Amino acid sequence: MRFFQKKMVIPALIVAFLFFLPLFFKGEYYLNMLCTLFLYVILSQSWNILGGYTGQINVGQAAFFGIGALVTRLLWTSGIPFVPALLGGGLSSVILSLLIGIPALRLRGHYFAIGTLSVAWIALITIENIFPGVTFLPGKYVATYSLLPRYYAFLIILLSAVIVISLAVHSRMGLAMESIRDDEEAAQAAGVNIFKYKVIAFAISSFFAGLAGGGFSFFHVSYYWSMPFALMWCFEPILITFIGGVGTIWGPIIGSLCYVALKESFALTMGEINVLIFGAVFIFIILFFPKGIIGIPEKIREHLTKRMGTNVGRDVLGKSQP
Amino acid sequence: MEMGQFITYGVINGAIYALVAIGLGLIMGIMGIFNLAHGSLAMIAAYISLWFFQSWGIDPFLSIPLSMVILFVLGIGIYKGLFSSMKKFSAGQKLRNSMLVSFGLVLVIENLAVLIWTANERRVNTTYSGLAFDFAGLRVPYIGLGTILLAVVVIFGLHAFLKRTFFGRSIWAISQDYQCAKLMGINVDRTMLIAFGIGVGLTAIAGAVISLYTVSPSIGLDWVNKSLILVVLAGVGSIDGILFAGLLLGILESVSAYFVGVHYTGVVSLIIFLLILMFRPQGLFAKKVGR
Repeated sequence: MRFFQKKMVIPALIVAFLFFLPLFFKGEYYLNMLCTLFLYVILSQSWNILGGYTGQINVGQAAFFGIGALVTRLLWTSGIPFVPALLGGGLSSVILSLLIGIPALRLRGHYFAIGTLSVAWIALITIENIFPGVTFLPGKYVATYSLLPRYYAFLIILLSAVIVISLAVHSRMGLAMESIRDDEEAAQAAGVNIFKYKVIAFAISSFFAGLAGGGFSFFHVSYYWSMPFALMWCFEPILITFIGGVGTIWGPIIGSLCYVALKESFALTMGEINVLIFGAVFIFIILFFPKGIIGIPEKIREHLTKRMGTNVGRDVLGKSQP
Repeated sequence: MEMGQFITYGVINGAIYALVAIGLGLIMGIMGIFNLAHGSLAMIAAYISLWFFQSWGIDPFLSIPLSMVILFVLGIGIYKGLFSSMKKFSAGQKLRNSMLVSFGLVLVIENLAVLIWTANERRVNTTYSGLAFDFAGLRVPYIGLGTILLAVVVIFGLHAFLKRTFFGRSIWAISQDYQCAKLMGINVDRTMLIAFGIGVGLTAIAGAVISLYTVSPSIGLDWVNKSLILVVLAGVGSIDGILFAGLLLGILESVSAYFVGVHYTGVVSLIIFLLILMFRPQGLFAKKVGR
C-alpha cells in the first residue's frame, strides 16, 4: 500500500485545512462558493470513474443526480433524518443505474452515449410533468437552516467519493476498468469480465451522483423540482472532467476549481458566457491536450526533452494511433 | 375523422424530422462523424432564413439556396478546424472524439446565439402561414404540404446522388476504408471536406422549415435528439430509410398525443428509441448490422 504514504501528504493537508476553515472563517459568500465547488467535484468525480476510467461516456448524469435529489428531498421533508434520507437518495440512484445499465451497457460506445442522453431526457420530461412546481423547505427546517452542516455534509460526501473512487481505480478492479477503456476486445480476450466491471463502475458512479443530488437538495431552500434534472447537469461533469484531466483523480478537482471560478467571475456580468468560454476551451483541450490541464506540465516537458510530439490526431481517452 | 387529422399532422411533423435528420444521416451514418451540433447548425440556418425574411422579405422557401451556400461554407470551416484530424481514426474512436468535440460546439453555438439573437422565440409570418386546404375532409396546411414535398424530393435526391454518382460512391468507399480508398485514387481529403459541407448545407432546408414554426437558441439539442432517433431507427448508413423513420416517428408521436396527452409525446418517442437501441441496434430498415 505504498499509494498511501508519500502521495498523501498534500491531500491530507488540504483536507485538514478545509475541515478547520469554517471555525475561523465565517464569510458566507465564500462558504457558499465552496459548497458549489464540492458539488461539482463530487459530480465530476463520479462521472470520471465510468467515463474516464472505464471509457463509457455517460451523457445522462442528470438523471442520477436528479433522482438522488428527488428521493432525498422527499424522504427528508417527510421527517426522516438527513443521513438515512441521503443514503436513500444514493441507493435509489444505484437502483436506477442497474435498471438502465444492465441493458444499456451491452450497447457499443456511442450508442451508450445516446441511450443515456435519452434516459436523462425522459427523466426531465416526466419530472416536469409530475412535479411542475417549486419545492419549499417546511418552516421548521428553514428556521434552523445554517450553512455549516451543509458545508460539512458536502465535504464528507466529497471525501468519501474521492477515497472510494481512488481505492477502486488503484486496485485490480481499476486495472480491469482501464483495460476495458483502452481496448474492449483485447480485455475480453485476456479474460476480463467486461460487463461486470462496467456495471460496477456505473453503480459506483451513480451512487455518488445520487449523493451529490442529495447534497443539492439539502443545500437549497427552494428550487424547481425539475431543476436537478436539467440537461446542464449532464454536460457540466463532462466539461469539467475533460478540462481538468480525464482518467485522473486530480483532474475533476482542478477542472471544478476552474469552472466555479469562471462561473463566479462572469455571474454578475453576463448570463451564460462562462459556458461559452468553457465550451471553446473544451474543444481546444480535446483536440490539442487530450490529458487536460493536469497533462500540460508533462506536455511541456515532452516538448523540451524530445522533438515536437504530435498532439493532433490523438484519441482523447488515451490510446494513441498507430 | 379526428384520428385521421392526428395522423396528417404526424406525417407533416415526420417530414420535418426527416428533413433535419438527413444531413446527420450523411455525416454520422456514412462518414462516421458523430455531430451533436447538427441541431444547433439547423438552428443557425433557421435564424439565417429569418434574417433573410426580415431584412429583404425573401420567402424562407426561396432563400434556401442562399442559406445553403452560407451553411456549406460554415460546414467546411467546421470540418477543417475540428474534424479533419480524426480522419484516420478507427470507427469507434472517431465517433467518440467527434461526439466530444461537437458537444463543445453545441455549447458554443447555443450561447453565441443567445448573445446575438437573445433567448426569445421567433418565427417567420408569411401571408400563407395559417392557411390550409381541405383534402378528403382533412385539414392540410400549405406549409405542411410544402414540407412533405420538400422532404421527398431532398431525401430521394440525396439517395440517388450517393448511389449513382462517382462522388457519392467515393464517400461510401472512404467511410469503409480510408487507406484503401486513397490507394484507389480518390482524393480523400477533398471528398470528406465537401461531403461534410453538403451534410451541413442540407440543414439550410431544415432551417427554412423550422423558421416557419418556432426558432429559439435552445432548440438545437431537441432537433439533434430527434435526428439521432431517426438515424438509428433508419439504420446507420441508410438514407432513404430516414424518410420512413421520420414518418413513423411523427405518426407515433401524434397518435400517442391522442392517447397519453401532449406532455408525454417526447417520452413515448424516446422509450421507443431506447427499445430499438437495445433490441435492434442495426435499425429498422438496414439490411445488415451497422458498423
